Amino acid sequence: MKTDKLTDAIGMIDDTYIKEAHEEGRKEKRRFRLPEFRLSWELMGKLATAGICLFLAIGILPELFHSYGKGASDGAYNSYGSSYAVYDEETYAAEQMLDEGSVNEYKTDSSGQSADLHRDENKKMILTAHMQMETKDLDETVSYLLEKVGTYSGYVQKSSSYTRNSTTRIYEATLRIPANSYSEFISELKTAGNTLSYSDEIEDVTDSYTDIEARISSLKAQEAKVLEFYDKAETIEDLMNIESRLSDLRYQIEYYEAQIKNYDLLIAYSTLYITVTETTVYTPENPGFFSRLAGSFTDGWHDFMGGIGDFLVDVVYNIWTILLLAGLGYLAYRIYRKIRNRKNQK
Amino acid sequence: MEDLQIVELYWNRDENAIAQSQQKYGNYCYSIAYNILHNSEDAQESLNDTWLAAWDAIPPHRPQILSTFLGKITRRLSLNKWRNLTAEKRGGGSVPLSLDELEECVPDRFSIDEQLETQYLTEAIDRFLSRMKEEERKVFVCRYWYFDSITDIAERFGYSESKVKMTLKRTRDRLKDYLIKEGMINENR
Repeated sequence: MKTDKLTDAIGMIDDTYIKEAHEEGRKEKRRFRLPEFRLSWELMGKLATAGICLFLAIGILPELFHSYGKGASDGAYNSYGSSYAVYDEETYAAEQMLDEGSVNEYKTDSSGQSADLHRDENKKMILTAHMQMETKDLDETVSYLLEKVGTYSGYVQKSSSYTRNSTTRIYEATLRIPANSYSEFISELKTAGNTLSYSDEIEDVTDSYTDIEARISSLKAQEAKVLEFYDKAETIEDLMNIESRLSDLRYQIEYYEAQIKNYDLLIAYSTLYITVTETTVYTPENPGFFSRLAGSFTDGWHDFMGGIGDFLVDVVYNIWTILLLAGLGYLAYRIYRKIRNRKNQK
Repeated sequence: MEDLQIVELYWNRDENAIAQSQQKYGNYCYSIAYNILHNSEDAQESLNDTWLAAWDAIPPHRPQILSTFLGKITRRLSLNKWRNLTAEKRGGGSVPLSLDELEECVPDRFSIDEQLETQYLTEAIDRFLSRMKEEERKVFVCRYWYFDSITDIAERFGYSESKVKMTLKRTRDRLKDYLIKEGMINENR
């Protein structure tokens, strides 16, 4: 090889130059060299992957759990007046109405809902429904919805509203509607917008209900018997024992009565979990393939842009933490470099 | 232990000289050998040969800078080993790349006179290096003496890889011109 001589000649150059180059922080023990920070395509790829994961973690996962907009994106949070505080009062009012008998127990109504077909007057049934709808004017629809809830003597158990991806306004609520007027309520509600999905489920609690009633009857019979003994008791010790037994029985009766009351409330008031989304164009009922394709593309783009926007908002929100961590990381790197260089010099 | 003391041990034929050299310059020489051979076992073998060669060379030699003296031995032995190995199979690492680059200094129609003493060529290169800017010289030595990779040099000097490549290219071109001018390489007839 014609460069061998040149290589050998370079090998014999003045010691000063070899030493000089060596002192430029050459690494000696390559066997134990740690991976080092270097801006390469590989590193950029890793950073991009980490960024995507971060994006997924910050931007998308919370959305899946419908908790977006309650943390970092408070600025985009709209409220129609959360009804959490109303819950206790409303529940209390409903319980009062039950006690006063002003709300009838479940009655069969066959005016439309699939759940109604399974209802029976003698059965104790709890109806729970889920509904998703879209509207072009969220404020108007929500006002209409709340008005109808009032009209049918129902109440809003829980509600929240937020903006997803900085563009889409969403209202979510848990509504309690008297079971006997539930079907009418739903029929009217469906006119307020475009229903995307509706599902309901009936839980038959007749057996449990009857069982609890029987237990209460039995306990009350026992209570009456014990009260008879109470009148006939002669010693203080007997009285004490009877009092203890009575207290025990009454505790159990109260416990079962509370369960019955809870059941009554659930049976008398159907639960509707509703989500209303604001949109500019209603989703077609049976869209064709190309329509769905175009829709997916547009939705995907909006979600993507919204996601990026949200991600940036989150980054700004966490900027101080990020800066602090970056600073600490840089400091640790510098210390590591210093220690390593010192070792190399030794 | 100071270099002078280690050299003294060699002169006194004290075997502790090898242990001391190994302790002080083992990693340095290993990194040179590994840079060339890219194999731990071969590098280790080269290192053992280095101590043996140093033992044979001192005395009569009395090195002024022990580190570079040992480094030169390691480099020469490792290169010889690498040449033997590549005669069978071409190895990886920085050496083939560095040698390919150095070939640019000897253009196709030129060759180095076989009769030319390596020492004269070394002296010419020394003169050439003495005229270079310090940074460029360091980069050159790192690449063609230590056979460091471009990436390592770039990182060490805080340059981009392309800057290192460009610096080396300019230096090679200048070295080629210098060697032609000095008559170290001759045009083939």
